Amino acid sequence: MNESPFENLRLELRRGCLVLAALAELRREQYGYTLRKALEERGLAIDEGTLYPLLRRLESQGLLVSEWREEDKRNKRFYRLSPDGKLILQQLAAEWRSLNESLNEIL
Amino acid sequence: MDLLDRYLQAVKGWLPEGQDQDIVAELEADLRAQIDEQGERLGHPLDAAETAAILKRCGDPLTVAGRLLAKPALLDPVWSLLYRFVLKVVLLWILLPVLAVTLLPGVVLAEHPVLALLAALSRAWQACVYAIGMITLGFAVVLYYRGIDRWRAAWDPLRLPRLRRVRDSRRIPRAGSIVEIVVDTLFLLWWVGFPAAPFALSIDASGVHWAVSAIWTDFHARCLWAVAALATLHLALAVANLVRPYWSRVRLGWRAALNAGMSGVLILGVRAGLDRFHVALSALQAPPPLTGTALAPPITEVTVWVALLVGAGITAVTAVVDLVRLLRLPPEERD
Repeated sequence: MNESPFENLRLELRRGCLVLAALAELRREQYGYTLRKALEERGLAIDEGTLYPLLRRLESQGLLVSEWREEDKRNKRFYRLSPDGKLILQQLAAEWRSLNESLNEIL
Repeated sequence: MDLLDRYLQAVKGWLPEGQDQDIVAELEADLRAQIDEQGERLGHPLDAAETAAILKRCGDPLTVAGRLLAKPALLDPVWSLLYRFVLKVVLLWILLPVLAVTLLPGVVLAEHPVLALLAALSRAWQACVYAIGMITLGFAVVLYYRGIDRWRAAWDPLRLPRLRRVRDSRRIPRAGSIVEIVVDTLFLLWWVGFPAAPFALSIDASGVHWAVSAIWTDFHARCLWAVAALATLHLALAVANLVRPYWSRVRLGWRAALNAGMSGVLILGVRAGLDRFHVALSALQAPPPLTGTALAPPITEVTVWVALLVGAGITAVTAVVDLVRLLRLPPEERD
């Protein structure tokens, strides 16, 4: 409620992009932290409190699958795209390109 | 890593049971990776202040729990958690015991218990609605002035509470079972072997006098075998718990049923002794004041009746607690 109108609109704009970016990154299996790092390195920083609920939501929608596994003596939850997720990613990517072209023309 | 464990404990404390393990385990993997990476960057394991800086950046436990849960809610997730916590404390831990203590005796002693129960439920419902309304109004005011934001900004990870010992909720302490076996055995011997107790002793110039409680004698005669059977089953349960010291659904259900049964029997005793209790109370209150040996019988009657009432309340509460524990046993542990 304290955020400026710009901040609210920026968050709104980023929200949809983050879903697409997370799905695209999860073509390769990763756990939460490496996914966050990968997104951050590409300029899409995302905090724990945003990423993990998003991953759980995408999993409950059947777009991701996850499994707990031990790596470096630590339990980690690894996520990857499900077959449905791969299909949705293709559709969303096409939608994104189309939107991007339209917006570029408008802007 | 003690600080990290304390932080995770604090986050977990705000999450609903059933989802807390998974969410906290995932957060733990993330934070440990951040701590490792920062340690590699600095070339040494992080000290408390450096770990605290990472936790501070992550956010205070309430905020993090709210964000990680992120369920659709009218309030934002953090306020939703806080609202639910306050409701739970007020309704379950304050209002429920107060209502039980103030309304249940009226139901037990009423001439028409079913009607009295309906009236008590109606009053309890009104009290709950009023409490929920006041809490919601309070939250609306605090939310409007954003009072808690200052506290959240000033949060310091180094002041997190110490780690609590993790207790296995299914484990039954053997010492407790041994105490129960001894107490149940002594109770059975007393119940079957000394029907004249309790009695009141009074000593004056003419000698020692004792007064048997009529309420007790009547209760004992009516409920001898019922109480003996319940106490024997309770003893058997204590022996089973000693041999296999883990609660199961069957044994928790068994204990809840035994306590509910004992409460019912004691309520019968309370109702049967009500007239005698009133007579004894009147005798104690009426002028001229009783003195010497005349005091012993009414005091004994009143004491026995109150003891039966308290016993009925305690066994009823224990039965409810057992039922709640039974319902909260994770499915895989309900053998």
